[in-house]
Amino acid sequence: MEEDKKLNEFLKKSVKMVGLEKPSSDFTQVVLSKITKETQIQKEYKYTPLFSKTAWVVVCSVVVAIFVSAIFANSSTESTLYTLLKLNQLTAFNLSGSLPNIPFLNIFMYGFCAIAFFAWMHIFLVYKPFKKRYQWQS
Amino acid sequence: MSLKDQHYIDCIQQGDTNAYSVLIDRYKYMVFTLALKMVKRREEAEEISQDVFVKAYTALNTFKGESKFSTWLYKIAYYRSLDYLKKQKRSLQTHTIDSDTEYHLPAIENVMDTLELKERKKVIQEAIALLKEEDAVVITLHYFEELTLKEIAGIMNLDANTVKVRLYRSRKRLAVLLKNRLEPEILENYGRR
Repeated sequence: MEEDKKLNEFLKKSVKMVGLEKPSSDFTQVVLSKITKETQIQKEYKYTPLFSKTAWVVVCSVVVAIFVSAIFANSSTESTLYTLLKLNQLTAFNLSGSLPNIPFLNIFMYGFCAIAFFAWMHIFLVYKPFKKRYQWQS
Repeated sequence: MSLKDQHYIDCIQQGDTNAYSVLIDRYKYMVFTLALKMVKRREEAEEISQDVFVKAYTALNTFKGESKFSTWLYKIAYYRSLDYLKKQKRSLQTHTIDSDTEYHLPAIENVMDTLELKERKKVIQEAIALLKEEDAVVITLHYFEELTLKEIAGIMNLDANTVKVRLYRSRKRLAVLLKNRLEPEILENYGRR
Protein backbone atom coordinates (compact mmCIF):
# COMPACT_ATOMS: atom_id res chain seq x y z
CA MET A 1 0.00 0.00 0.00
CA GLU A 2 2.81 2.36 1.00
CA GLU A 3 4.78 1.27 -2.07
CA ASP A 4 1.77 2.02 -4.26
CA LYS A 5 1.39 5.46 -2.74
CA LYS A 6 5.06 6.22 -3.36
CA LEU A 7 4.79 5.02 -6.97
CA ASN A 8 1.73 7.21 -7.39
CA GLU A 9 3.66 10.28 -6.20
CA PHE A 10 6.71 9.41 -8.30
CA LEU A 11 4.62 9.04 -11.48
CA LYS A 12 2.70 12.23 -10.81
CA LYS A 13 5.97 14.14 -10.49
CA SER A 14 7.44 12.42 -13.56
CA VAL A 15 4.44 12.92 -15.87
CA LYS A 16 4.19 16.59 -14.83
CA MET A 17 7.90 17.02 -15.53
CA VAL A 18 7.62 15.55 -19.03
CA GLY A 19 4.79 17.94 -19.87
CA LEU A 20 2.62 17.89 -22.97
CA GLU A 21 3.46 17.39 -26.62
CA LYS A 22 3.57 20.49 -28.80
CA PRO A 23 1.64 20.68 -32.08
CA SER A 24 2.92 22.77 -35.02
CA SER A 25 3.31 26.51 -34.49
CA ASP A 26 0.54 27.43 -36.98
CA PHE A 27 -1.95 24.98 -35.41
CA THR A 28 -4.45 27.63 -34.27
CA GLN A 29 -4.39 29.43 -37.63
CA VAL A 30 -4.94 26.18 -39.53
CA VAL A 31 -7.93 25.30 -37.32
CA LEU A 32 -9.46 28.77 -37.72
CA SER A 33 -9.09 28.65 -41.51
CA LYS A 34 -10.67 25.18 -41.55
CA ILE A 35 -13.58 26.53 -39.49
CA THR A 36 -14.04 29.46 -41.91
CA LYS A 37 -14.10 27.03 -44.84
CA GLU A 38 -16.52 24.73 -43.01
CA THR A 39 -18.95 27.55 -42.14
CA GLN A 40 -18.87 28.78 -45.75
CA ILE A 41 -19.76 25.32 -47.01
CA GLN A 42 -22.56 25.09 -44.45
CA LYS A 43 -23.93 28.45 -45.59
CA GLU A 44 -23.79 27.48 -49.26
CA TYR A 45 -25.46 24.14 -48.74
CA LYS A 46 -27.86 25.24 -46.04
CA TYR A 47 -31.00 23.11 -46.13
CA THR A 48 -34.05 24.98 -47.31
CA PRO A 49 -37.35 23.10 -47.53
CA LEU A 50 -39.17 22.96 -50.85
CA PHE A 51 -42.32 24.34 -49.22
CA SER A 52 -41.91 27.04 -46.63
CA LYS A 53 -43.83 26.94 -43.36
CA THR A 54 -46.19 29.66 -44.60
CA ALA A 55 -46.94 27.66 -47.74
CA TRP A 56 -47.81 24.60 -45.64
CA VAL A 57 -50.09 26.70 -43.40
CA VAL A 58 -51.92 28.06 -46.46
CA VAL A 59 -52.31 24.58 -48.02
CA CYS A 60 -53.55 23.07 -44.75
CA SER A 61 -55.99 25.94 -44.19
CA VAL A 62 -57.45 25.52 -47.69
CA VAL A 63 -57.87 21.75 -47.22
CA VAL A 64 -59.50 22.21 -43.80
CA ALA A 65 -61.76 24.95 -45.18
CA ILE A 66 -62.92 22.69 -48.03
CA PHE A 67 -63.72 19.82 -45.66
CA VAL A 68 -65.46 22.06 -43.13
CA SER A 69 -67.56 23.72 -45.82
CA ALA A 70 -68.37 20.30 -47.30
CA ILE A 71 -69.62 19.04 -43.95
CA PHE A 72 -71.53 22.09 -42.77
CA ALA A 73 -72.76 23.59 -46.03
CA ASN A 74 -76.23 22.72 -47.19
CA SER A 75 -75.86 20.28 -50.08
CA SER A 76 -78.92 21.72 -51.70
CA THR A 77 -77.22 25.11 -51.86
CA GLU A 78 -76.79 26.01 -55.45
CA SER A 79 -73.74 28.19 -54.88
CA THR A 80 -71.46 28.32 -57.87
CA LEU A 81 -68.29 27.44 -55.96
CA TYR A 82 -70.00 24.50 -54.21
CA THR A 83 -71.13 22.90 -57.42
CA LEU A 84 -68.00 23.87 -59.27
CA LEU A 85 -65.78 22.03 -56.80
CA LYS A 86 -68.32 19.14 -56.63
CA LEU A 87 -68.19 19.30 -52.84
CA ASN A 88 -71.51 17.49 -52.52
CA GLN A 89 -69.61 14.36 -53.56
CA LEU A 90 -67.47 14.66 -50.40
CA THR A 91 -70.44 14.33 -48.09
CA ALA A 92 -71.78 11.40 -50.07
CA PHE A 93 -68.41 9.66 -50.03
CA ASN A 94 -68.42 6.33 -48.16
CA LEU A 95 -64.83 5.34 -47.28
CA SER A 96 -65.45 1.82 -45.97
CA GLY A 97 -67.50 0.90 -48.99
CA SER A 98 -64.85 2.10 -51.40
CA LEU A 99 -61.92 0.09 -50.00
CA PRO A 100 -61.28 -3.35 -51.49
CA ASN A 101 -61.92 -6.17 -49.07
CA ILE A 102 -58.61 -8.06 -48.99
CA PRO A 103 -58.53 -11.04 -46.61
CA PHE A 104 -55.32 -11.36 -44.50
CA LEU A 105 -54.23 -14.55 -42.75
CA ASN A 106 -53.69 -14.27 -39.00
CA ILE A 107 -50.10 -15.46 -39.36
CA PHE A 108 -49.44 -12.56 -41.75
CA MET A 109 -50.77 -10.09 -39.21
CA TYR A 110 -48.66 -11.63 -36.40
CA GLY A 111 -45.55 -11.42 -38.59
CA PHE A 112 -46.28 -7.84 -39.53
CA CYS A 113 -46.72 -6.88 -35.87
CA ALA A 114 -43.46 -8.64 -34.91
CA ILE A 115 -41.50 -6.82 -37.64
CA ALA A 116 -43.02 -3.50 -36.59
CA PHE A 117 -42.05 -4.23 -32.98
CA PHE A 118 -38.42 -5.05 -33.88
CA ALA A 119 -38.15 -1.97 -36.11
CA TRP A 120 -39.35 0.13 -33.18
CA MET A 121 -36.88 -1.57 -30.80
CA HIS A 122 -34.07 -0.90 -33.31
CA ILE A 123 -34.65 2.83 -32.86
CA PHE A 124 -34.06 2.61 -29.10
CA LEU A 125 -31.32 -0.03 -29.01
CA VAL A 126 -29.22 0.87 -32.04
CA TYR A 127 -30.10 4.19 -33.65
CA LYS A 128 -30.50 6.43 -30.58
CA PRO A 129 -27.37 5.28 -28.66
CA PHE A 130 -25.21 5.73 -31.78
CA LYS A 131 -26.75 9.11 -32.52
CA LYS A 132 -26.06 10.16 -28.94
CA ARG A 133 -22.44 8.98 -29.15
CA TYR A 134 -21.73 11.01 -32.27
CA GLN A 135 -23.57 14.14 -31.15
CA TRP A 136 -20.92 14.76 -28.48
CA GLN A 137 -23.46 15.93 -26.00
CA SER A 138 -22.03 17.16 -22.72
CA MET B 1 -6.67 35.10 -13.74
CA SER B 2 -7.80 33.90 -17.12
CA LEU B 3 -11.44 34.12 -18.07
CA LYS B 4 -13.52 30.99 -17.81
CA ASP B 5 -14.26 28.83 -20.86
CA GLN B 6 -17.98 29.62 -20.65
CA HIS B 7 -17.26 33.32 -21.32
CA TYR B 8 -15.57 32.45 -24.62
CA ILE B 9 -18.26 29.92 -25.50
CA ASP B 10 -20.87 32.65 -25.03
CA CYS B 11 -18.83 34.99 -27.27
CA ILE B 12 -18.58 32.32 -29.99
CA GLN B 13 -22.31 31.65 -29.82
CA GLN B 14 -22.88 35.37 -30.31
CA GLY B 15 -20.87 35.18 -33.54
CA ASP B 16 -17.35 36.06 -32.38
CA THR B 17 -15.32 33.33 -34.13
CA ASN B 18 -12.00 34.78 -32.94
CA ALA B 19 -12.91 33.99 -29.33
CA TYR B 20 -12.44 30.35 -30.28
CA SER B 21 -8.71 30.91 -30.80
CA VAL B 22 -8.35 31.42 -27.02
CA LEU B 23 -9.92 28.01 -26.38
CA ILE B 24 -7.77 26.40 -29.08
CA ASP B 25 -4.61 27.85 -27.56
CA ARG B 26 -5.72 26.72 -24.12
CA TYR B 27 -6.39 23.08 -25.01
CA LYS B 28 -4.40 22.30 -28.16
CA TYR B 29 -1.48 20.78 -26.22
CA MET B 30 -3.64 18.33 -24.28
CA VAL B 31 -5.78 17.40 -27.29
CA PHE B 32 -2.66 16.85 -29.40
CA THR B 33 -1.02 14.80 -26.64
CA LEU B 34 -4.08 12.56 -26.28
CA ALA B 35 -4.30 12.03 -30.05
CA LEU B 36 -0.58 11.25 -30.18
CA LYS B 37 -0.89 8.71 -27.37
CA MET B 38 -3.62 6.99 -29.35
CA VAL B 39 -2.30 7.05 -32.94
CA LYS B 40 1.44 7.27 -32.13
CA ARG B 41 2.29 9.34 -35.24
CA ARG B 42 2.74 13.10 -35.09
CA GLU B 43 1.30 14.02 -38.53
CA GLU B 44 -1.83 11.96 -37.94
CA ALA B 45 -2.21 13.27 -34.40
CA GLU B 46 -1.99 16.85 -35.71
CA GLU B 47 -4.67 16.17 -38.33
CA ILE B 48 -6.96 14.53 -35.75
CA SER B 49 -6.46 17.39 -33.27
CA GLN B 50 -7.41 19.95 -35.91
CA ASP B 51 -10.53 17.93 -36.75
CA VAL B 52 -11.39 17.77 -33.05
CA PHE B 53 -11.45 21.56 -32.78
CA VAL B 54 -13.45 21.95 -36.00
CA LYS B 55 -15.95 19.31 -34.83
CA ALA B 56 -16.21 20.93 -31.40
CA TYR B 57 -16.87 24.30 -33.01
CA THR B 58 -19.66 23.00 -35.22
CA ALA B 59 -21.19 21.03 -32.33
CA LEU B 60 -20.83 23.81 -29.75
CA ASN B 61 -24.60 24.26 -29.61
CA THR B 62 -24.89 20.70 -28.22
CA PHE B 63 -22.54 21.53 -25.33
CA LYS B 64 -24.86 22.07 -22.42
CA GLY B 65 -22.26 22.86 -19.76
CA GLU B 66 -23.10 19.80 -17.67
CA SER B 67 -19.44 18.80 -17.81
CA LYS B 68 -16.28 20.89 -18.14
CA PHE B 69 -15.58 22.13 -21.67
CA SER B 70 -12.14 20.50 -21.46
CA THR B 71 -13.51 17.01 -20.68
CA TRP B 72 -16.07 17.40 -23.47
CA LEU B 73 -13.22 18.25 -25.83
CA TYR B 74 -11.07 15.33 -24.62
CA LYS B 75 -14.00 13.00 -25.21
CA ILE B 76 -14.22 14.17 -28.82
CA ALA B 77 -10.44 13.73 -29.16
CA TYR B 78 -10.59 10.21 -27.74
CA TYR B 79 -13.43 9.08 -30.03
CA ARG B 80 -11.94 10.82 -33.10
CA SER B 81 -8.70 8.91 -32.50
CA LEU B 82 -10.58 5.65 -32.05
CA ASP B 83 -12.54 6.30 -35.27
CA TYR B 84 -9.31 7.10 -37.07
CA LEU B 85 -7.69 3.85 -35.94
CA LYS B 86 -10.81 1.97 -36.98
CA LYS B 87 -10.76 3.61 -40.41
CA GLN B 88 -7.09 2.74 -40.83
CA LYS B 89 -7.98 -0.80 -39.71
CA ARG B 90 -5.42 -0.45 -36.96
CA SER B 91 -6.48 -2.08 -33.75
CA LEU B 92 -5.53 -1.06 -30.25
CA GLN B 93 -2.73 -2.95 -28.55
CA THR B 94 -3.98 -5.72 -26.34
CA HIS B 95 -2.66 -6.51 -22.90
CA THR B 96 0.13 -9.03 -22.81
CA ILE B 97 0.67 -11.23 -19.84
CA ASP B 98 4.02 -10.04 -18.55
CA SER B 99 6.24 -12.42 -16.72
CA ASP B 100 8.21 -9.42 -15.45
CA THR B 101 6.14 -7.57 -12.88
CA GLU B 102 8.87 -6.80 -10.37
CA TYR B 103 10.33 -3.36 -9.85
CA HIS B 104 12.20 -1.59 -7.10
CA LEU B 105 11.06 2.01 -6.85
CA PRO B 106 14.00 3.41 -4.78
CA ALA B 107 16.43 2.00 -7.37
CA ILE B 108 14.49 3.66 -10.21
CA GLU B 109 14.34 6.95 -8.29
CA ASN B 110 18.08 6.85 -7.53
CA VAL B 111 19.01 6.37 -11.16
CA MET B 112 16.54 9.01 -12.32
CA ASP B 113 18.14 11.50 -9.94
CA THR B 114 21.52 10.94 -11.56
CA LEU B 115 20.19 11.68 -15.06
CA GLU B 116 20.11 15.09 -16.69
CA LEU B 117 16.66 16.66 -16.98
CA LYS B 118 16.53 16.14 -20.75
CA GLU B 119 17.54 12.49 -20.45
CA ARG B 120 15.07 11.95 -17.61
CA LYS B 121 12.22 13.33 -19.74
CA LYS B 122 13.26 11.12 -22.65
CA VAL B 123 13.26 7.98 -20.49
CA ILE B 124 9.76 8.67 -19.16
CA GLN B 125 8.40 9.59 -22.60
CA GLU B 126 9.77 6.38 -24.08
CA ALA B 127 8.28 4.30 -21.29
CA ILE B 128 4.83 5.92 -21.69
CA ALA B 129 5.03 5.37 -25.46
CA LEU B 130 5.43 1.64 -24.83
CA LEU B 131 2.18 1.50 -22.87
CA LYS B 132 -1.06 0.37 -24.47
CA GLU B 133 -2.76 3.40 -26.13
CA GLU B 134 -5.68 3.59 -23.70
CA ASP B 135 -3.40 3.13 -20.69
CA ALA B 136 -1.22 6.03 -21.85
CA VAL B 137 -4.38 8.16 -22.12
CA VAL B 138 -5.48 7.19 -18.59
CA ILE B 139 -2.01 7.96 -17.19
CA THR B 140 -1.90 11.37 -18.91
CA LEU B 141 -5.41 12.38 -17.90
CA HIS B 142 -4.92 11.28 -14.30
CA TYR B 143 -1.38 12.44 -13.57
CA PHE B 144 -1.03 15.47 -15.80
CA GLU B 145 -4.56 16.83 -16.03
CA GLU B 146 -5.42 15.51 -12.56
CA LEU B 147 -8.86 14.39 -13.65
CA THR B 148 -10.90 12.24 -11.29
CA LEU B 149 -11.70 8.61 -12.06
CA LYS B 150 -15.30 9.65 -12.74
CA GLU B 151 -14.22 12.30 -15.25
CA ILE B 152 -11.90 9.86 -17.04
CA ALA B 153 -14.71 7.30 -17.05
CA GLY B 154 -16.97 9.89 -18.68
CA ILE B 155 -14.41 10.61 -21.39
CA MET B 156 -13.71 6.97 -22.19
CA ASN B 157 -17.29 5.81 -21.68
CA LEU B 158 -16.22 3.32 -19.01
CA ASP B 159 -17.23 2.51 -15.48
CA ALA B 160 -15.24 4.40 -12.77
CA ASN B 161 -14.15 1.09 -11.22
CA THR B 162 -12.83 -0.12 -14.58
CA VAL B 163 -10.78 3.08 -14.84
CA LYS B 164 -9.47 2.51 -11.31
CA VAL B 165 -8.31 -1.02 -12.18
CA ARG B 166 -6.83 0.17 -15.49
CA LEU B 167 -4.97 2.97 -13.73
CA TYR B 168 -3.57 0.55 -11.14
CA ARG B 169 -2.32 -1.84 -13.83
CA SER B 170 -0.92 0.97 -16.01
CA ARG B 171 0.98 2.35 -13.03
CA LYS B 172 2.62 -1.01 -12.34
CA ARG B 173 3.33 -1.58 -16.03
CA LEU B 174 4.93 1.85 -16.36
CA ALA B 175 7.12 1.18 -13.33
CA VAL B 176 8.30 -2.11 -14.88
CA LEU B 177 8.95 -0.40 -18.23
CA LEU B 178 11.01 2.27 -16.47
CA LYS B 179 12.94 -0.40 -14.59
CA ASN B 180 13.67 -2.27 -17.85
CA ARG B 181 14.74 0.92 -19.57
CA LEU B 182 17.04 1.89 -16.71
CA GLU B 183 18.36 -1.63 -16.02
CA PRO B 184 21.96 -0.97 -17.15
CA GLU B 185 22.16 2.20 -15.05
CA ILE B 186 20.61 0.44 -12.03
CA LEU B 187 23.17 -2.37 -12.27
CA GLU B 188 25.97 0.16 -12.66
CA ASN B 189 24.72 1.95 -9.57
CA TYR B 190 24.78 -1.29 -7.54
CA GLY B 191 28.31 -2.00 -8.82
CA ARG B 192 29.57 1.31 -7.47
CA ARG B 193 28.38 0.50 -3.94
